[in-house]
Amino acid sequence: MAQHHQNQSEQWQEWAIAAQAGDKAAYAKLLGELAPYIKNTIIKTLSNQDAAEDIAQEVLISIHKSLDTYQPDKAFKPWLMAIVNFRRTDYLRKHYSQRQDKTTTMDENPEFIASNVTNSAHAGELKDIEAALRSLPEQQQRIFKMIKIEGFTTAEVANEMNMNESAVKVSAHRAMKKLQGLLK
Amino acid sequence: MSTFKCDKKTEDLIGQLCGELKPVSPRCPYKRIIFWLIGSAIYLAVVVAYLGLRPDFVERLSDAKYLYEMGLGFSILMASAFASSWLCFPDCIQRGWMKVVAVTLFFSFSLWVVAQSIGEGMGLTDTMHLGHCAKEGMLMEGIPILALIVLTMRGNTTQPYWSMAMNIMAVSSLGWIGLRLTCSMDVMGHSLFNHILPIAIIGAGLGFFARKLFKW
Repeated sequence: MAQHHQNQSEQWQEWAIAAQAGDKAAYAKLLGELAPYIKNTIIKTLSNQDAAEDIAQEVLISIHKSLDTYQPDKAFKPWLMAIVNFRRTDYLRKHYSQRQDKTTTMDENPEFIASNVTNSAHAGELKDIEAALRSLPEQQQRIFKMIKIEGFTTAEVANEMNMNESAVKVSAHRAMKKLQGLLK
Repeated sequence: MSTFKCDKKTEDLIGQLCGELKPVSPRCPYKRIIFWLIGSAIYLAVVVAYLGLRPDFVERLSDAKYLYEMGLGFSILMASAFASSWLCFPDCIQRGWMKVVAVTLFFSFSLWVVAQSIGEGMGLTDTMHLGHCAKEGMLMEGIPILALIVLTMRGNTTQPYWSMAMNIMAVSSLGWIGLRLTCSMDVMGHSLFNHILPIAIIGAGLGFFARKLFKW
């Protein structure tokens, strides 16, 4: 793995040096490989795909503008990462300064929540949990949701569903066990 | 200046960037700043010749304190100018020690100034020099600071505030050296308020615009 990264970095260094000499083919290869790498690097700290795409493009433009500042005798990645971090910080600064007059409630704007708050990497897991929950009998589903999601006490749930408290506890426990089995 | 916008697809952008590629020579980190140092030294020499050397200049050359201050000022000038030059490169973080050297020298100088001021008193009773030195300082520092800001604007800094700080330190050291050559008042309090403070205030003001000025 480390060897792969070293080879990749050395390859980029070679292409960058060739690009400085005006080699368009090497430059195309370099930017072509850098674009997904930059996007993947940014997406680790930003959940917004569109923003990551925008920043990646900003970084490519910055690389183009500052190609003459790359020193051929130095490693390529620190130079690249300095630009990536700079552009990401720039984006975040703008983003947070613009957010001051933009407020929204979670209920009013579900699309915003889906794209900006929910990490897309976790979205699959959330769907799995929802599907597993739907596979439970309706009564167990209701008890599980009331206790584990909505925060009701077992006494409150028992009262609401005309059950005794220990039956509610047993039902919630069984639901949890089933979900654990389904999500393994 | 590139005219690319980020609303294009990445593939199109790459194609456009490749189409615009022109051969470039790797930029030498020292070339521009050496030109600036030479230019500033010549400019300072002309201003000092115009204003006239202090009458006791030859005597001062045998004063260890005077030579120490001049030496320290020169060291800060060189260290901060070279640090500023490196800060024009995106990966300047790899040479972070250059900033450390400049800042350490600057703090040594500040401590020296404060210690001397406490020992000597502030020397503000002599109002003859008030304003006079500040104006001469501006004359010595105005053009060099503009030149240095233009050089930084043409660079690709990822640390704009540090760039501005190094620029101000370099130019204020230049002004310090110039004023010590022309002003015969050696009281440190006077130097502090009339030689250093005006450029420090201007520098702090410019610092607020560093990110906008050095945008690239």
